[in-house]
Amino acid sequence: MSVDTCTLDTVPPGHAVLLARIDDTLAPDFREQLAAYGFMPGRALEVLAQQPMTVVVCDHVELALEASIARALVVRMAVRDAREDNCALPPYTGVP
Amino acid sequence: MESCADATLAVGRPRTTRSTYVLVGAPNVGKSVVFHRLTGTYANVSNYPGTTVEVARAPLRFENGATLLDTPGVLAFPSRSADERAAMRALLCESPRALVQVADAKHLRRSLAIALTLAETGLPLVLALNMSDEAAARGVRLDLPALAQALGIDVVATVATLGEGVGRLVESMPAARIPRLHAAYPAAVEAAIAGTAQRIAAHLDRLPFAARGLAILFLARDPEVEHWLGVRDREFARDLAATRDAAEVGSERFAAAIARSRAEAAGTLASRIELVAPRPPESRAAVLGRLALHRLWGLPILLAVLYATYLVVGVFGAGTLVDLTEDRLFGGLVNPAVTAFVQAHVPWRWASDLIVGPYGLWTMGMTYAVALILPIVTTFFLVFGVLEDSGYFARLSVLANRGFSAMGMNGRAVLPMVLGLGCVTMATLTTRILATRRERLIATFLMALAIPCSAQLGVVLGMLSALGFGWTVAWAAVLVAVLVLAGALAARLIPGRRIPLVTELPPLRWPVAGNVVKKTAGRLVWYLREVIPLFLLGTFLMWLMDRTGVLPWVIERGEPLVTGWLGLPKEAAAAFVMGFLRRDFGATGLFALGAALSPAQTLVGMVTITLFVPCIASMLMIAREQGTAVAALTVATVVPLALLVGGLVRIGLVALGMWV
Repeated sequence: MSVDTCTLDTVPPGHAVLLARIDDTLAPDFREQLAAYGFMPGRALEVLAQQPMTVVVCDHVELALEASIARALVVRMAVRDAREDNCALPPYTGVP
Repeated sequence: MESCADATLAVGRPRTTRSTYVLVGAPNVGKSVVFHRLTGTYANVSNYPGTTVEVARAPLRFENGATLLDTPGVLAFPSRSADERAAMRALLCESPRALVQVADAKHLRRSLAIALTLAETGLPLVLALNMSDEAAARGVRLDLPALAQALGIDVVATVATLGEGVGRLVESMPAARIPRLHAAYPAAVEAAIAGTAQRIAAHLDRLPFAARGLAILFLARDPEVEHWLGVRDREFARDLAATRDAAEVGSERFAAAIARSRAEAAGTLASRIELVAPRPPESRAAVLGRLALHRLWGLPILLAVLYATYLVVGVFGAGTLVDLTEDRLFGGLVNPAVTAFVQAHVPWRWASDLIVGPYGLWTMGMTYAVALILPIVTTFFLVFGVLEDSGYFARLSVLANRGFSAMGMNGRAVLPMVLGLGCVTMATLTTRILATRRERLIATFLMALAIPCSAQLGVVLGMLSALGFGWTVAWAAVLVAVLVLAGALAARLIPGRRIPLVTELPPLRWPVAGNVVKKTAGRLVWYLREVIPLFLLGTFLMWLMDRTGVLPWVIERGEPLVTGWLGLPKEAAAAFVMGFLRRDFGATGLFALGAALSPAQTLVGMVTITLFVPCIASMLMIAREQGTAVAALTVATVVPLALLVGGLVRIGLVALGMWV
């Protein structure tokens, strides 16, 4: 995973992200189900909650995803502030 | 697997008519409400994804001889879930005159992806964009004339719960047109589609819909289409599959390419149709919906919902209403009059006993069914209907997910389990909304064991509350412990994997009173039809066993177990025999012993009878849904388990010095 991506389960509530890809390890049934809900690379997702499950808005639909599913969704921040990385990743150090 | 290419038709009827309209659409978009509006017939309607567990069919109100078919929710085709397969079977088997796609106006992209799939069947189509009020409230504005123009079909905005737009939908249906817009696929996929479609058209006659539609579904590996082709000509289907598999080697699977192209086409069209509007401030319903899952507020809201349910069902239904019907109406007026009448006019003692004796068809069977149970079940179904339509159950499934995962299921199982508190028989049927057979088995078993139905709850709570709140809590605690332990054990013993929960959270809505009342009435009719005959049968069997000496014999045989292990008076054995017929009969049998039982004995008796076999009706339902072997195994497990737990509770009470 590159520095500017993280998995959906680590995104704090209230943040918007873009779906980068769905991990290959996720069973095809779930990939198809998510695709039908509009989870395609580049789609914007708004994270509403992480407890008791991950809740996101995709295409005006609120969906609750169990952690094992949310972990398979690789996302990047929609509006990226160079000083702040909202994913739970090592702090952004900037390019020298 | 069945197909209409077999002699038997999967959705129930031979295809004799071209005048069948088929409702299709995503889960929880209001298909069943539209169905009700168009036919006047009740279908299982609620604000919870996946509640159409059976395909419903009814004559259309506005067109003589035409029928409408309601299908389960479809997230996408090719079909994958049991619901989607049932919907695809309807398309393959019904030779529909036209399709009516019901779509959620808020989810245009997803709705259009389904519309593009339906367009490929070449069947006439009308698109109803439902819940257009909710879409507007969220700032979604749609250019409907442009959409109708692009698709080449009628597009109608509806709010089905209020009946808005339904008139225009009715006008559009007979004149439904074949859509002209189609998704474009990559060249290699197009070539495969054209080749497959050509072969299907050349080789098979009487196709259910356009060969191109069949070819696309076949290439995307729709199991129903594969099966349909296999039944029509096994060799031909095998040959087609070989060609498809060879073409997929080394390149992207057709299913993925087709889904992507369709999503892109739907996205492009949606972006033209969806007008950008400023996002309105969050509605109160949206805030409440969020609070219902909040880590601080979620629990208080749940407790408030439970308390309100208790007030309506427990206090008002089982208290006030039952007082009126059982004590005053039946006990004070109806039963004395019926008894006097029968005793005066029926000369034979055995016959008058059969009607108005201790196990009389009227004094026991009808009195329980109408005076005791009907008020409780009515209030329960009302509350259940309100919760269902409000959208709270989807939140409840999220809250309960962790607890249910310990029992090998996911939070979706909360719906049948809660419904089981109303009627286990109906809830057993509703386990169909669960994704796997393993989940259905676990849920069915746990309901048969530890979920008391409202009839039984009424009797049990009535008896325990007379002793004090502490005894009620103790009874509930034992049941929850048994439920969790048995669930954890079942999850280990029944092979298979647990399915993680992915669920849509529909917006919270104010339920429409008329819809809740209609739904409750539908459920009550179902319940009374199932229950009254079985009550009468059960009462008759009790009377027969009493007359023939079987009952005294069983009571004598069961005495060591009942008096020794459970520590109850020997008369309690009769209650357990009654429990075989209906659990609430059993509880009522113990109720009749009343003062003869100490509080501790009452607790043991109530725990045992609650866990005891489910009623005859739900056993029949388990046999129908899961097979007779599972039903037999359930009884063989549940009965000893109930007696075991009852005895353990007694031992626990003795150890605590509470056994008097």
